[in-house]
Amino acid sequence: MKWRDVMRYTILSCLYDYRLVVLYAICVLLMGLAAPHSVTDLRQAKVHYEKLHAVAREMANLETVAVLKRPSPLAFLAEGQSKNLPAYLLVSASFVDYPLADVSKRPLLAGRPSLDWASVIGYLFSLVALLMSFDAVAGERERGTLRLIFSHHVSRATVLVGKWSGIMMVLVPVFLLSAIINLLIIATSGVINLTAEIMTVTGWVVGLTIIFLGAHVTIGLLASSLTPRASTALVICLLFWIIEVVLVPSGATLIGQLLAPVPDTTTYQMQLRSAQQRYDVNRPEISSLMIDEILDRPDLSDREKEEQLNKLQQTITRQQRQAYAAFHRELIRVREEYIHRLIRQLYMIEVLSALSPVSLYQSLLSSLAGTDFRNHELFYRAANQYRQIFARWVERMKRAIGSERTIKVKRVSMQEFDRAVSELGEVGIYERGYMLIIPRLSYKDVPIDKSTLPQFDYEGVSLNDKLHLILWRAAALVVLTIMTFVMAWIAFIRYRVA
Amino acid sequence: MEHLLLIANKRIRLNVVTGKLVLATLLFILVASATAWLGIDHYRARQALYDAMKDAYLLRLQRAMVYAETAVDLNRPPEKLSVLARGVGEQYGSVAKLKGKYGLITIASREKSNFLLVVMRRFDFTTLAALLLSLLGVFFAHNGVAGEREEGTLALTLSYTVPRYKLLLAEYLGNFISVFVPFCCGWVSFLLLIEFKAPQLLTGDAGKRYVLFFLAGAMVTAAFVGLGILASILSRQATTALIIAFLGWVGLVIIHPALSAWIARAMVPLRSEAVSFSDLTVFELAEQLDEPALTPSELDEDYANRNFEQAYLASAIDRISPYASFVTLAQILARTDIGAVRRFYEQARQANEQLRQWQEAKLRQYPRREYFYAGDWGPLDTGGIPQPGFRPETLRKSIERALAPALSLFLWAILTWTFSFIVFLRYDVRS
Repeated sequence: MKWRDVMRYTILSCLYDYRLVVLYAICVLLMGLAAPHSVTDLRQAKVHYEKLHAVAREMANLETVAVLKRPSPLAFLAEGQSKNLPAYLLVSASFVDYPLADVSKRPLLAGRPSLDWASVIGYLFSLVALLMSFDAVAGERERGTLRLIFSHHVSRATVLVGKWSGIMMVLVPVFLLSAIINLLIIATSGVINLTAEIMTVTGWVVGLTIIFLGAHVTIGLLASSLTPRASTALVICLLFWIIEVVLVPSGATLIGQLLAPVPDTTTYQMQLRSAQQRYDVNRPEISSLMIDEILDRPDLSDREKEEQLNKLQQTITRQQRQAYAAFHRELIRVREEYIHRLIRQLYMIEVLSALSPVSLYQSLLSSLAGTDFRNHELFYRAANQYRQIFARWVERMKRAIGSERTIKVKRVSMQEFDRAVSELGEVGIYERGYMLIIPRLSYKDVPIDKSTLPQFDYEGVSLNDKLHLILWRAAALVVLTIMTFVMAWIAFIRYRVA
Repeated sequence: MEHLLLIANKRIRLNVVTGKLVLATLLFILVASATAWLGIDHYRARQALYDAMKDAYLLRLQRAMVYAETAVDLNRPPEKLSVLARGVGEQYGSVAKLKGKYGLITIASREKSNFLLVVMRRFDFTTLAALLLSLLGVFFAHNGVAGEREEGTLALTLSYTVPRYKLLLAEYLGNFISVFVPFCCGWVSFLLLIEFKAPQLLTGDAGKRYVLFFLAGAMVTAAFVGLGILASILSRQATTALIIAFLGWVGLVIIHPALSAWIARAMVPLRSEAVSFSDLTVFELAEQLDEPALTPSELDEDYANRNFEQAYLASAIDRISPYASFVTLAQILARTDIGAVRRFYEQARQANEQLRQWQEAKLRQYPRREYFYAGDWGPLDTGGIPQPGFRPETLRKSIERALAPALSLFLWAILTWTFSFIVFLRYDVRS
């Protein structure tokens, strides 16, 4: 008797068991149901992206421009965190910012699981794998067939390998069937084209899923070889499943929040506001008094007075620019520290929740689909690179507008003064015929030629980089499978067959 | 009657002897103490933030020099029962910034810590108790019939001329008590901890709300024990019963919320998602691009309405599941559910309308002071500005809204029992 015989026997007993056949049907049905769900989501994401794209281009100005993240066509594999992350970032010449208001696209439905491969396979197929393998050893013992098998002069390892491969031979075709149905529905809907890259990623996902299912079958075998009774093994399996699906992810969230705390939005906004207030207080202003002081001096000629005024204006302008730059540095520091802490917390939670095979598998899938937080961070970095291009463009445009020049103090009429203020500056003083204008610091309302605006083209992470991203986690999954298999083997060697 | 009590007694004793009951009680006490502890800390932090920030707008108002700058806040204090069920309110926001005729209502959250993070499950007593009650109900009840049959005791019991409905009722009662007693212990320790640590949270009608929550716990226990017994009757072996019952649990607790969210989003799509740039100029642009007939404020209202409608639809579909019904019911009692958020939003809208009327009245009085300010005009006359305060829901209203999920729970309990009874009449008790 070889392991193939054990395998054949296991396959037949799986197919004979009507409970399992019902489970296969549920799996296929849910994967089929997940397809229209993904189709509606992908379609809505596309429409949303196009709308935002049009609006973003219209609203671009010399201060800020919004850059958008293209919705991932692979979202049907895993919606990941991207459904709750902002779809755009606001880029200005000196920093990249998150839109603080309304970051969640659907705040009232946030936190609900979504119907995609990651959820259906992660939650349901893992459960089915456990349910298929829990009575592989203990159940055989209870029925007395285990002794009969060993009377055939087979080693325990042979039996275990035969059991494992037999269960996998039933489970993997069910998964492949449901995956093909899902892909067919999505492909025929016409929302995405199944390009070579999408197919490659899907191939990787299929490989990872097989490892993931294998890990769960070994966990089931382990539980089964640890207990003499099948019902105890079942309870152990179900408890394990509840721990990995419910307890570990929420526990990781809680512990992550305790270990890597972030300030609440109010504290953050107060920091920003106090920086603004310091700037408002410290900003040097030109006042009528200063002008009066110069104009009232009897020892100066008109020409000297004009020179003095010019000097005053230049000093104040320089001081104001310095104050504004300092304020800006402060803003950047506060914002970057805040965002850095948010990201650190998320990584902490992800690392902690990798204790659960389901969370590990789901994070792998969302990495491959380009919808997880790592991909979002890469988008954030791409936006930061684009910021430099945008900053250079802004410099060019400002030079073209010419408001960086100092504006000479001179005698003008009231109408000329009004025109000059609206064109060049934000603060101007008109005193006894003299015009003093501080060049503008904000360029928000300056009309610009949008055709010269540099394009932000972020195509997402390339396949190579994605594989690089998942390398360690995929290795962890493989190691987990091998380790549990070895543990199951050891437990099975010590198993009392009688 | 005596048969009934005898069999129920036997079931409870079995659960005591196998250690299930003690374990469940310890689990419940642990969960209750941990959630109460964390919840009170969380509540205090929120209350401190609320106290610090509730009058912040008055300072802004003092500094305002023209009527275009007059704005007030509508603050929602943290709910006392948010310790019990945190709900969705926290995510949606607790302060509405009202600008009258000079801008749209913006609702922000002060407490949100990491906006990039959406917590999968929040740690409050309601969700954890719902998880535990549903799981324990299923786990305890699954071998009520099939397990007895396997051991051969079912036929023996029926040989005592016990009618089948009585046997079923007794199994029902025994398992119900075995699950509900641990819940009671958890509930009592939760209340005790609150009484000692933060007695102010139990004032007002909070006590009555806790009692109603207790009743809801009884109903959800009945529903899941019914589910477990039904699974037990539908199968010949205890393991099959456990698998069926557990799959039912997975369907109702894990898969069903995903499905209902999907249906809600497919049926009520958010038409104007482009407005999420939340910038006034962009609202105008979005209007040109997308909805030529709507003004920015209408777009905003439309967005909020559809968001609510979506969430309402999702929670209506949720009521199919006893688990979600119980969570919704507790949130309604705690005034932290979607309905409470909507109430806040509607009050914000009313207050904004009052502010707008006030601004217009003042502008009739001082027509030149809308945007323009000259140095010698003196401080702005802000006399009689409406200072809105949030009016929370009364107990009566809460109960009215809680009737629908309560009905769903009741139906689950009744229907599972009736169905089990019918199936049990045909059950082959031979081993």
